[in-house]
Amino acid sequence: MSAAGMTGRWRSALLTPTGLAALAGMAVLLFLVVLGPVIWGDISTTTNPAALSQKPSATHPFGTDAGGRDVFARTMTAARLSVLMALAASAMGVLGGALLGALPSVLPRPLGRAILAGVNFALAFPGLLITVVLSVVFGQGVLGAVFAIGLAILPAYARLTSTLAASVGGRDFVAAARVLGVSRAGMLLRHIMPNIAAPLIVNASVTAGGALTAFAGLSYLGLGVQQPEFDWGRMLNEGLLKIFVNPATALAPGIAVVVSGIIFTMVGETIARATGVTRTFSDKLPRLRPREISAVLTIEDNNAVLQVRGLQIAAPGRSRWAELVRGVSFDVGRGELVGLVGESGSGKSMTCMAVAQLADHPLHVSAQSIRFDGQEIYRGTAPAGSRRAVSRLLGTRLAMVFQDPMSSLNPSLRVGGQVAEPGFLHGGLSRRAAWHKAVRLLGQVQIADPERRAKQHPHELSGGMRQRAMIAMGLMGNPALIIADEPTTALDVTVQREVLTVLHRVHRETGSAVLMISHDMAVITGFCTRVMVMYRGRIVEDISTEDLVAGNARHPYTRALLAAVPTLETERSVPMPTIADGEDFDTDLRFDLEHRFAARRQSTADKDAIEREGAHA
Amino acid sequence: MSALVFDKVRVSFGHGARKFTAVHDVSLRVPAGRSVGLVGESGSGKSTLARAAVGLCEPRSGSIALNGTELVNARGRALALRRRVQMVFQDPSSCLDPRMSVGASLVEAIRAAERRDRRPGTVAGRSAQIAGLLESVQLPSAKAAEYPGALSGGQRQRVAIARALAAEPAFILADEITSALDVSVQGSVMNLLKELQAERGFGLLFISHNLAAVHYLCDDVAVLRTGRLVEAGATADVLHTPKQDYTRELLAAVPRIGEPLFA
Repeated sequence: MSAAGMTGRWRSALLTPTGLAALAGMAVLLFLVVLGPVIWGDISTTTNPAALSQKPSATHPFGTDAGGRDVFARTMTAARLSVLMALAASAMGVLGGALLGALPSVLPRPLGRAILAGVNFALAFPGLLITVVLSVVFGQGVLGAVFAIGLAILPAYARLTSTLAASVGGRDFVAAARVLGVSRAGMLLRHIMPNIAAPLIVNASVTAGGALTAFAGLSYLGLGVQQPEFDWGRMLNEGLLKIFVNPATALAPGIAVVVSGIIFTMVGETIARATGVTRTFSDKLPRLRPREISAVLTIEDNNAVLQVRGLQIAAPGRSRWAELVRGVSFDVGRGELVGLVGESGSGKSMTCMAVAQLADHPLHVSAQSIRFDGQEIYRGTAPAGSRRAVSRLLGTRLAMVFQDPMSSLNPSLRVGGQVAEPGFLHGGLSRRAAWHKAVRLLGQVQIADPERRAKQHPHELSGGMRQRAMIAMGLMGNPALIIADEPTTALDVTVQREVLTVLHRVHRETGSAVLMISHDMAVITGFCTRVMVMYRGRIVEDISTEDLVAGNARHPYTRALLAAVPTLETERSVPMPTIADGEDFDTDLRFDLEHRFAARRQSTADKDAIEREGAHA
Repeated sequence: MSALVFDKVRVSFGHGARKFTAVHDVSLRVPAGRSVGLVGESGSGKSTLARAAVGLCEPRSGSIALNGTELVNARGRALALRRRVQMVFQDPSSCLDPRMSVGASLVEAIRAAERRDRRPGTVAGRSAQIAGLLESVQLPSAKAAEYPGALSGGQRQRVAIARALAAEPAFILADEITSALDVSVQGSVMNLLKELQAERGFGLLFISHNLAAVHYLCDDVAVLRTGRLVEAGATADVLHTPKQDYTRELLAAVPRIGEPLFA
């Protein structure tokens, strides 16, 4: 992100209600810390024997304390000490903890382990206990309290830092820096700290709020600030003795603690938004104009298992919509094997997520119509008909297989139970019957010893087995369509073969159609009979595999894509044909629906004619 | 002739019953100026072998030597020599520090090389070097000011290659560097590697599970399976007339464009 982008993010984070409140709150706190004792200092220490423990009145809005001093003035004056102590203790805990927590990632292993062991040991004790013990050790008073609370914060912060640092330390750029010979200090200061700084700062402001309460608690116990000095905690301590007589004296410092705590937390939230720890998007984007599709589509293949018309998907950006899918229309016939290829970001996965109605808020999904299995499931910007009926239809007739089976299966549940779930959720089976069916299906997708495998957890299965278990899950219903999104990309070639074989067998035996998304041209042309090519949110080519392989692709992008795939026969002495970075292909609907559907009808008619001739011969 | 030589390298993790040997006594030679492909399925130990050469993990036994100098546990001059072996990683989303501009990443690498060679550098010299490095990976010099978030996957891999080049490497270990890229971008990265190698003469260990990419780029191929070397030799021999069943199995499983997978 550029410097301009940074300022933009800060501005938009500050211009939210939370951001403005945080800013105003910080201004008030700053004012009180600097000027509180100057303005109210004298009044707050002036005792008045004539007005002891008075209830709130016009001259004393929160009454007076046992010494006849004005509680409001004392609360304002105490702000400096209370806030500064909280900040000092947080700074100590946060900086110390961050240093201690980051060291293990650059120190030699035994030393790092020793530090972590110490931190974990300290964490085993409750924070309050550490605070009380330390404050007894350091003695009463401001300094003692700051050290006690600062040191009590430290272990938790060290732990957080080491966890964050470990996640950064395992990344490739740190390994690359090590290989280059970057020094330990350089690694810590340039790579690890900057990458964990944002969450640490966010946590630090929340910690400051917590420290404020901790000081109040400590002073309340009589261990913190001692007379004649006073902070909010000390005032709470004194006020609570008379809570039933004069509640206002305890209320004023109580409100001060709560409000400052909230201000610190809001500051943290604002920083989180500005630094991107919390992701935000504007909810005031201009309306998006739906994509029009040509009117010729009154002639439709109503027998198709899937009909998508004018599908548009957009993601909200900071100031405008990013259109990911720009008016896509296509059919998948019953029992057809269709491939959808394109680069990452071309919108191919998005299209399928929208069909399965998995593209959720904040994405904007609109379509003239999506029909599945003879029923309209989406129209305009919302699912058509009752959500229940649509979800039931999708649950039983549509199967999804994703790229990473480790993340699409729940790691904490048994495989069999997960495969069985659609059976009792949508299929009306008892849990027992669903489990039995699941075991049978696991066997059907070539998983050996399905009884035992069903009782195992996903991590105990190999990648190929997990992917086949996903297929089995899809078979719990009676799928008319299987959408497979890069089903074999994460797998080795030999395992890839097994998974594709199972998928093909399912297609043959159940007659279900398959819509396969992949960037692997070889897999797509080997598996599918028709290929659609997506480019920048549009389908630019819709062609039979035969024609594609024969070199009859019409769109230059398709031809370029095909040429860019290396094979075992690629000539080594010439450079690989490539698609240059940022090379622009025409995305105009030159191959718009009218053409594509006309061409398909034509080729079907040809085929019919040939078959008829064949029958005559 | 200089070479990076792996001799009976064994790498294992854990102890006792949980001990897992990732690389089993693998011997392999990467001659200077040549490219050697290392193929095998996930878990075959390809990456581990490369990581051992650059000190990211430690072999239990065996030796890894550059021009006869042992690189395992290298100190002093041997360590400086080991920095002549550089590695480029697979994942374009994590190969660059997201908080560092392209220029800053390259400066870091340039300064590390200056320290290694005990030569002072100047700010002007470094910025000239950055421009040169970016040019050699075919990126405009204006990219130096950009952050990785603003670059495409292919561009990030180019920057990662430029960072490795800053160390003036004698050998580059490329670990699946094209696997996560779109097909259309893979080709351009492979072309770049070929050109750079012709220009600078480094030896290349190209780790990949993509046999077609290895076939295109490499002079020699070594096949690994569960940490053991199955077969090694000239690319044409190993990939066209394999001697081992496992290699044949691997080759047979590769889908080919236009060949129906199921009759």
